[in-house]
Amino acid sequence: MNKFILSLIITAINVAVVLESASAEADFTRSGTITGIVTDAETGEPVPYAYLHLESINRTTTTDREGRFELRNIPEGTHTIKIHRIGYITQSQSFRIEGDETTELSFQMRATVLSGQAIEVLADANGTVGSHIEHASIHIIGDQLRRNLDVTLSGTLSNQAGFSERTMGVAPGRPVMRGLGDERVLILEDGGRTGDVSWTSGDHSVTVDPSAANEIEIARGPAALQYGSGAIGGVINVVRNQIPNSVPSRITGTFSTQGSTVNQGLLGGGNLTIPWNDFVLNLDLSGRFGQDYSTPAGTLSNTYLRTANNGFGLGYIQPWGYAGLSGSFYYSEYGIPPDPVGGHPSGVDIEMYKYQTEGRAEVLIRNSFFSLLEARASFIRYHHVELEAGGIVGTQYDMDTFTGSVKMRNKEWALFDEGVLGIWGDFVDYSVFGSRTPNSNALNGAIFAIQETDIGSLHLEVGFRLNYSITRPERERPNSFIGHVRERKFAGLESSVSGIYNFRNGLFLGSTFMHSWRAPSLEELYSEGPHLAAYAYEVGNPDLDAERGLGNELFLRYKKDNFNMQLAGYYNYFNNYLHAQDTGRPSIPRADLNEFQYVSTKAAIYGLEFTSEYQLFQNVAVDGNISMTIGDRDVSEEEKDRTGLTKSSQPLPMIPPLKGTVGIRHSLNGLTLGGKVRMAAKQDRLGEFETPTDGYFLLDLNAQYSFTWRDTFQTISLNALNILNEEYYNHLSLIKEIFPEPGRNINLLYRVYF
Amino acid sequence: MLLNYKSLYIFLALFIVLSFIFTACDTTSTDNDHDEHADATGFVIVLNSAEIVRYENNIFNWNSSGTWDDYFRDNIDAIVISPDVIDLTIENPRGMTPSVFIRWVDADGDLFDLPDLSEDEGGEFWLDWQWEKPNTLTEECSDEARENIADLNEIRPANLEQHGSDGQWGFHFRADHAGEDRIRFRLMHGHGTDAHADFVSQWMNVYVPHDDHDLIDENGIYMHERDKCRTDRPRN
Repeated sequence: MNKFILSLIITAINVAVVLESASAEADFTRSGTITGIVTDAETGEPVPYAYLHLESINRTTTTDREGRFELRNIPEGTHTIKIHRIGYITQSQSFRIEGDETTELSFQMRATVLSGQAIEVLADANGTVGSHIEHASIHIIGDQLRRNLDVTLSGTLSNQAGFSERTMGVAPGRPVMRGLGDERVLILEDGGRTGDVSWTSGDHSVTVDPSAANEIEIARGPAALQYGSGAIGGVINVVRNQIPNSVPSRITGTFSTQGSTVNQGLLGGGNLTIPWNDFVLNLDLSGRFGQDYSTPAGTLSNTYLRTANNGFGLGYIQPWGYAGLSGSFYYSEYGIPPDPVGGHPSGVDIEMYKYQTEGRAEVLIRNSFFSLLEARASFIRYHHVELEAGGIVGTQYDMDTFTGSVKMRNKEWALFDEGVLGIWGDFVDYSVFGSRTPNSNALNGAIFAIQETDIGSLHLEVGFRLNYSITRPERERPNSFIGHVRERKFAGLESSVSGIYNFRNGLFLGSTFMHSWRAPSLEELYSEGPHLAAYAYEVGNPDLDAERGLGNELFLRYKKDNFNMQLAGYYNYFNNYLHAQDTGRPSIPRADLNEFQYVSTKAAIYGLEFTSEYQLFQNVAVDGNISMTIGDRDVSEEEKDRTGLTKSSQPLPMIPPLKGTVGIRHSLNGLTLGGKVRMAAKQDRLGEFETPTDGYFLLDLNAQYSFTWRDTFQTISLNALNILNEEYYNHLSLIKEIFPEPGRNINLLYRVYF
Repeated sequence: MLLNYKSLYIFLALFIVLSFIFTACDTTSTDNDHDEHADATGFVIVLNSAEIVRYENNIFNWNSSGTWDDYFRDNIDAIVISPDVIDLTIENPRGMTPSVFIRWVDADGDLFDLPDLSEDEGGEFWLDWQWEKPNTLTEECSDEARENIADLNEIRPANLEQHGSDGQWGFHFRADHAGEDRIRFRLMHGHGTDAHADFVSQWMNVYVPHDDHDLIDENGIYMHERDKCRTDRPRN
């Protein structure tokens, strides 16, 4: 049966069951409406497009141009609403809804020049049911998002402390957090899997367009456990709210366009949210194209990009919760720059598409233990083909992913104030054409629990996740070149504890411990063949064991009205760190490609990061961050004998150098002017077959202006990146031997909200 | 209570059951064809059933049968295309080697042959090759190229021709001018948008010496293309 239709049926049945159950037994008569206005505390002017989040039932909305908002179908009871807007201090307020009444609320927000990127509580599981990760360690939102908006998600995040960007050209970037990448960093869209293969190789792009994001959230620790296994690096959630969870009072939407000089790139996109009674329809359209990038050393050939991302979401919002469906289609074509040494003088062209459907429901449950249930099911079909010059297929990937989960938020019990319990499963059907990699599939399941409590000034969270995974090749091959290809079963427990002590003078001391576990992926187990765009012949290892990691983070955070800072140190140790190691020898069947062998090794990745923001004058702030990461792996006696290495440890490859930013900005009457210096030190701690990368200093300038015009709120953001046109190289670029990073780029983003 | 336990249990049961029904479906989506034939790990080039070159485990073994000395010269790590091995005469000015054939080596070092069927005949496999230097014969023959004969070093000195009578696995080496280049062979599988390389060899050195011959000019250019530009450059 066609999987797409089947998943739609399953989703529809699930949603129907929820609706039927709720409509049969819910008490619809006891719900109310909240309306209100958000104003500037000093000027009394309305604050448009402030983001409001009703945490207890996971509803969100934004204020209109007049600063007004409305949330309907709010069940009777006490709730807490949080109001967030860049440029203002975040507020939260509790209120009580009486049945059938309209409650009027008003908020006066105090302006601040600080961006407030430091979030109050790290990895708090409070409110984790739903598409948002509550109180994550980093939120990128509003003008901060516009200022950093890049072609890729990784580019958008790359200026945050601890973030780097693994690239291969311009389109296929993927975030690296504190030196951890691939499957150790989980990327989500509206809390769900992206269904792509971006973690498997440097040439695979992330199928998330950051221009469609309302905000980007990052979480680590216990809260991350509900989304997947092994994400010791963290979870990145791109929030689009494709399935609406609240009814706006009128039709709303956005339109954006962006132009970039560095590749003659153009982006156009829009979003429309249409309420109709208790239904809300959300429509998204966006397209992006760009030519080859220019660099100080010339044009970076075959770095074009064409992307389309379209979708819809339909939500049905009731006092008992909401239910909805969404569908989306993502299409992308991009080029991988040529590697004359690797034997592809014309580069490689990649074409991919992904379509996705999802059903989701959140239902309030009022009993002594549970308060909220969320169920979601999604199906994603992903197709990706890599073409040599002349259109010859190098490698083709097809992957179908079906994911289902049920989460329930619980109330106070034993030591804990609240938490989340859940069950999660997915089925991945994977095939590769153009290589000897067998068709294979994986069935993964997990149960998890995340609980939190406050003991005096100490906030504690604990979480665990029990995983079970079966990986299955199409047929067993005892004498395969890579070993005994066979079915494998894995089971493992993950756990995490996070504690934050509030000294109540703006100072917080916190620590997070995580024991991660992840089963080897199908690629790591069964790969056997060329991966054209990665210029690699991948050799899997069917004998690999699950990867286990121990991570610990200690941080000190200080937050005052005019000063924020965080100093964090972290240490991650892996008993068997899985990675593809360049053997340096050509493969036998494909002598044009080096063999990359999946191996496991003991490894440690550790470092320090510091981020700070200080309000110099009333309208002037300076900020900066610095990150240092070191990665080492053990060298076995056998490897010493084979390679001649003498030391017992060796640097890991693809570890970012010491890097940081320093910036200043001035904000007044909607106009923000700023400048930033990005810098990186030379990286000469090198893994196998790596070469040193020189340090660099880059200067960026930016200006933003926001204003209201008629019934719209408009923003213009002008960014001048690498304005001195410095030639520099990214140590995490897989083609840094051949090509530098993009040169001077004047980037103009215009966005209108209506 | 907005939702009672009974409904909750029904919902959870349906969800789990339907999810298992779904995941039990066989959803393999792409045929993987690599178990249907032996995998090439090398090749041999043969003439009259005797090996000229054997390539195996990324290593070339020149004159592996010991019977083709004319294809090699001392201290030159390459196959040599010279008047010693090509039929370079006024009567036959194209100057190619006799038809040689490529056979494939499996992981055990044994030779195997693939069906000699064209695409029209249902053949799935075909031979492809890539030269390292560009083939700019037309430019080579232009007045501009002739005026800057040093650029010949950047132009492919030899070529490989495959005729109808050669089938899928036969071909001829042709010398165009003195020089060095590298060629690699690819065993292709499928056609059109399904075409992909099952096997790619290392670069094989090819050497065209500047020998003394009536049909080789002072710049080392072979004069076999009489109907093209070289007809106006006879060697006196």
